Amino acid sequence: MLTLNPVFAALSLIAALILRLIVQGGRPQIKAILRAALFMALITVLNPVFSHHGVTVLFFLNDLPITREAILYGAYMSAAIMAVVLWCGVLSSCMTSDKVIHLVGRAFPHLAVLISLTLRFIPLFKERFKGIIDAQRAAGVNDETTMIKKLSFYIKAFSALVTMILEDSIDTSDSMKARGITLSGRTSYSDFSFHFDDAVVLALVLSSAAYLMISGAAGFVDLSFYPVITPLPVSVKALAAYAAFGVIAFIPAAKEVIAWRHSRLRA
Amino acid sequence: METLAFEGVSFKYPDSDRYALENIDLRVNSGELVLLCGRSGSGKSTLLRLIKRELSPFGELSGSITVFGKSREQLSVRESVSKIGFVMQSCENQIVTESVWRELAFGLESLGLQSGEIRRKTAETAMSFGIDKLYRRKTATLSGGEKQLLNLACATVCEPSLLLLDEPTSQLDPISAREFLSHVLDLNRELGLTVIISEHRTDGIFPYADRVVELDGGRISVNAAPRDAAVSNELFFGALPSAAKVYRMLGEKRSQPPLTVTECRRFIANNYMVKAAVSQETAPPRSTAPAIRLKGVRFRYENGKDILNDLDLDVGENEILAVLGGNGAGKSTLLKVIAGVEKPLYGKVEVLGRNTVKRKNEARSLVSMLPQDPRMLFLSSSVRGDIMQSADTADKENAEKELMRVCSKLGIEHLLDRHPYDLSGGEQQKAALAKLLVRKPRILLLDEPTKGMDYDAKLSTIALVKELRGEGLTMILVTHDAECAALCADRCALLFDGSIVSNDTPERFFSSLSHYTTAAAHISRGFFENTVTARQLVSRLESSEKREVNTDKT
Repeated sequence: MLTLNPVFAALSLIAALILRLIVQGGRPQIKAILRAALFMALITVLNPVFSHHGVTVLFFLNDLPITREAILYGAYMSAAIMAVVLWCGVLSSCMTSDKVIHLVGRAFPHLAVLISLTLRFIPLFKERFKGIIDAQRAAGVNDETTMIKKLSFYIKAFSALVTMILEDSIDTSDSMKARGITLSGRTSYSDFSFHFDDAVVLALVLSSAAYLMISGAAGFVDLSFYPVITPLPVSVKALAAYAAFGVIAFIPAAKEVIAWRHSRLRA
Repeated sequence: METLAFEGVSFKYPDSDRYALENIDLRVNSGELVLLCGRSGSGKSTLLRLIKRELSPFGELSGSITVFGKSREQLSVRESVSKIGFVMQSCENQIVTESVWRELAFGLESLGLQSGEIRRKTAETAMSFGIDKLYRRKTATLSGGEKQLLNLACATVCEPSLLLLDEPTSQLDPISAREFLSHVLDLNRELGLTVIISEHRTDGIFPYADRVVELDGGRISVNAAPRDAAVSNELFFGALPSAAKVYRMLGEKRSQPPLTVTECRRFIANNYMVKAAVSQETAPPRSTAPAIRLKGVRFRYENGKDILNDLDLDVGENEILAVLGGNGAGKSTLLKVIAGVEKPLYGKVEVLGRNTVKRKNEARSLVSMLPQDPRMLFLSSSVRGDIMQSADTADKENAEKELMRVCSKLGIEHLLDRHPYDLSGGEQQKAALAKLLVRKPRILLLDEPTKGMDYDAKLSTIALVKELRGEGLTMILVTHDAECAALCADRCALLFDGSIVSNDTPERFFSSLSHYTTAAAHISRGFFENTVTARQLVSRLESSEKREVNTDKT
């Protein structure tokens, strides 16, 4: 299933980069992109130092063979890793908790409540913890002179936090009971709706994904780096697979661009 | 039509030998607004919770409770959820979800409504409570008043016909409390909801209630219309609104008891010969060497706006300063800066001549702060353990002695081996105070020490503060409660927009303000100057001449 075909890595990287620029705006991204480029260069350089597979020896470093395959594999790896990192960034900025809850809510409304409850508790925990630490310090009763004492203070404060949260959650659970958490037939409200264009996109993504799986399984796009780099597959079937991957990778960016042009036209 | 009927209801908690409620007979008609009063622990919460079966405590219940004409056991959970709304005391703990719109939808989701209907109902409810601007906000970013308003909105979103409110405003500042109560009154008057509300601070609700019911030790001691309740000797003095307190303190029998500030002013005008604005000279504030001195203090949290802005403040030695101010004015932050927990961005803070930044440890050993939630101070599993933790451990014997001295003064010796969380709110506060006092601080900072307390507990806290002053402590207390400040402070200061805008004796301070002031000051405006507590007002009225002819029918 998995392929080491660099075309996918390249497409994925470019698509992620474009989307990131669109979603998060250009200017502040330049630094991030420079950092990413540096990271990629580092992996490209380091891989051949540690990996000596491959047959095309370019030169020796301290009697260790540096091979062309290892360098290219390093470049490929760095692109793939960078793409994953960028996609994760995009995911975290696009995939808000509302969307996650919407996705699970219809099938598991109680899970949706649980996620929402957890999200609510995180800032509450933080605030209470700071409250306890501040209260202890303001009372002037704690000794934080050594590292050990400081650590023990934090541990005690944390245990006090847990006690407090448990006690307070009795009220939270009463509040849920009062508003019918125990009733059967719970629904999950969200204001997202499914339109015709969503269906078109979904169909595109699903059919592309299906074709990619087939071509992966059938080996249309296979490529290996070691011991010798095999030629890049360029058959029609392989090109179609690249295209299918491109569809999936560029859909989010295309959607943003269309929405943007649309709003410009209206305005 | 009858919404609710208690007949011979008694209730006992499993581990208790005392009845929490005893032989309660109570009928509430549809559309009534019933004020439930009584001291802390008199059974108000138990009574309210028994009405809503999902929240009913476990225990021995006898007698019959009928809700909407059905016995409580016959009422399905679904009916109870949709027909009975409930709001509790803590604005924070009742919130379940992370965003306002999801919180509003919660009850409707439980009832299994479809998205279109939920959208319509949440939108309508948000608009009618004026929280439509908050619809997309995260619940963690709301203020206390906004949170409680959201809780009220959530309780009414399922269109209940009975609303139960258990001390809903006790954690709110006066402005938010007033807004909250105005929405409750609207729900009762405009939408015809039956409302049962328990409250300690009754000024905003007593005059408008259809009936006042008082619980005393689990029994109903008063059940009457407000004006009859106000003259009933059974009614706990603290449950009266300020106007009726004045009437009661005067020992008046003439005319109907006044319930609001306006009625009380009319009552005074009709019954007393008050010479126009008698000027009473008050002593200027005592000036002693400053124990706390802040100069040009500016403070902000990371990336936030300035909370304290060029703030100057002197507090004399052995003085009690009350700091008042709206929600989020930075009162608690001010205390933290003085306690040395937060470092000012600019300016300097000195306690007893020691800079809190440069001589941090010295300064910290002189100052102790009691947080708003006393539970924040407890780290051990027993009160004794907690107090000992802060006592000087080098000298065990003396520490033990000091502990007993402090605890007997606060009257909490019998609680030493209990878990701090098993104590009542008032007891927790005393235990926390004991933890601070064993260190013998010279300066005590109190953050809203009377929040959520009933009248008696409040008075005993005020007495305690005065007693501690007698022992040489300098104190700053931050409060929303103008009455409390007027009763115990030597000076009052108003914090607004990051700095102190007014700083004077309570008499001058409260007479100079027309909104943020005590009810007694409101009542005496134009009659007496520098009159800010009910007692002062009463003594001035007693020394005034009474009118003989009384044609007043209020």
